[in-house]
Amino acid sequence: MIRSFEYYEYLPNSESLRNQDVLDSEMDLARQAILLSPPIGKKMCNCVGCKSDDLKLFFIKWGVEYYRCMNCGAVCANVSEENIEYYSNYQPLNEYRTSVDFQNEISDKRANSWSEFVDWVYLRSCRYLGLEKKVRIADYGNRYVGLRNSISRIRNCISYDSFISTRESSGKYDIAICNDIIQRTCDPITLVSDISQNLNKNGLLIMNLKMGAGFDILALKDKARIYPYEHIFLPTEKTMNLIFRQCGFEVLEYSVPGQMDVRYVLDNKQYIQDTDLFLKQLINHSDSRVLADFQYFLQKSGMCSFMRVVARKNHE
Amino acid sequence: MNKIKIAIIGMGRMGRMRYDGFIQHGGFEVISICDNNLALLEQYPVAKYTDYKKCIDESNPDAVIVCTYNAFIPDIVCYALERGKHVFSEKPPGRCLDDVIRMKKSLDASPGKVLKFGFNHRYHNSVIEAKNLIDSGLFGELICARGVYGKAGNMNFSHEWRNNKNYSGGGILIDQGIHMLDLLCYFIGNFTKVECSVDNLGWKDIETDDSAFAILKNDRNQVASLHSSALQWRHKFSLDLICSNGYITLNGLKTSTDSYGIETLTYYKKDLELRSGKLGKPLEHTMFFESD
Repeated sequence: MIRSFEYYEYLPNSESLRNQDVLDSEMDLARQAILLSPPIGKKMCNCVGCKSDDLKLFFIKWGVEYYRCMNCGAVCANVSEENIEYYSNYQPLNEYRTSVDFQNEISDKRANSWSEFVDWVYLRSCRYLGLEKKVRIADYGNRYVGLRNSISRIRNCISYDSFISTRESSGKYDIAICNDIIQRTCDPITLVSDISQNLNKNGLLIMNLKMGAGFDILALKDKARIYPYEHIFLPTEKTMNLIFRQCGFEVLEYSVPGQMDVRYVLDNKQYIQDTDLFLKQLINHSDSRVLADFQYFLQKSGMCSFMRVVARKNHE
Repeated sequence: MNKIKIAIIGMGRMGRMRYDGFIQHGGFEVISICDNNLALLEQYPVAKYTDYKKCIDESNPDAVIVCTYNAFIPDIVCYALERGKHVFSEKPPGRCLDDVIRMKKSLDASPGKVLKFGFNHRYHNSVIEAKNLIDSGLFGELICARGVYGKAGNMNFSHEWRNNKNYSGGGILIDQGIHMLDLLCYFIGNFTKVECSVDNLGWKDIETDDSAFAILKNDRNQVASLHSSALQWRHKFSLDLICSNGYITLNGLKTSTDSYGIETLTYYKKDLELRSGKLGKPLEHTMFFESD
């Protein structure tokens, strides 16, 4: 298995990939949706990834309990399908996200990272499917028009279909791209199985994942950039290995393109607990070179909150 | 499916490694082994020989694996080919041009037979990825390459067979540098001009070269430099591939001891517009390879 990471030198003044106003507006609307959604009547008993019942309350955000699995390290929110359904159909949030202003803002900020992503998908396709292979791509849960356009123009792509949900699609594809979609499910095994149904044998599943054991999440807990019901399942590498094996996939590589972990913690350093002496020392008293080295260490070690995985479907 | 019948000539370190590899693979049957040191053969439950000609003639394998000192490779390779056997031999493919020409003649006179030499570096993950990156076209044309392959040496270095000219035919260039030369040919193609300096600069008690510097060019004006060294005082492998639209660098090699460092490949695309925001520091992508 290959491990990889992207890196550029940390710059204290480097811009975030999101405009804070846009992020705040999006979170306000998400919070409204949570307040209006049906009450959660059940207690969470098992990790939705590895099924272990060894769960510990990690934090509560907007009244929603987040548990940490002591077996695989995944972070899971206590939600029901009904809650997710309500959230995903919440009109004001959906309208905001599909607005021209929102899409333009995101496109402006992310043009470079999307360009890198598209190149990377092409290179992985050449590596695992062959240089001559023309590919059919299914793209699941991608909210960004700019990214959809970029992916559809990958040089060996002969067909591109975008789906809101994994249950919508039919047909057979060579590559399935799932950006930030597993974080929105409370049944990841069914989600990966659904994708598998529409992949050719030896087809590639490319997933962008928000990880439960990432530095900023472990350091900031509820103050990290996660919120219900946008982030309800945050797996670890161990969780994903279990899920992929169960669904007939072989993990080919984990890649860490996330570069902002230290920046997120630095921006929210007031929330670091007083008992986290090492973290407080590191964040409050390190110069930019040390922080750059620390970010490099996190990426190299796969301890960021954002990862990509390439998995190959081994059998029908 | 019938297993391919194998005879291994030379049961030193490489011969034993090949034997284990064939057993592990399962698609081969090692039917005979040969070495002039009988003690090396004792533990193996197959036909044993001290004469390679007898080994090939009497056991009648489908393929012969040559794992001897360099000096004996051409004779054994030619004999096996002339007896209608496929041949795999450890590198180098001869000690000199005459050896290569002789083996090529034998191969040409043995239609349908395959002769391969052990240039295994092409199968390291970093090399496979680099080839994929270049062939993908994203990095434009390969302009030039720079390869360094260095060895630490050891207390017994002067007495190793590799530095006995009668056995090896040459020093560090023919031993280790030849792998880098193979990779340069793999990425760039065959070269038509060579300027080089092959010397003994540091290990004064050996009769072979310990340093080789070469500049190689081809007809498309692609250039490569090669530095093969037994004076590195640590193990080192690095290969830079400079393309018209980006850069790829390989460092370290996955080995059982990781003494060459973790095998990595780093690439970045040309960024004259400073999209990453800092002059001279483009966004890099680095891969680590944990398996061989």
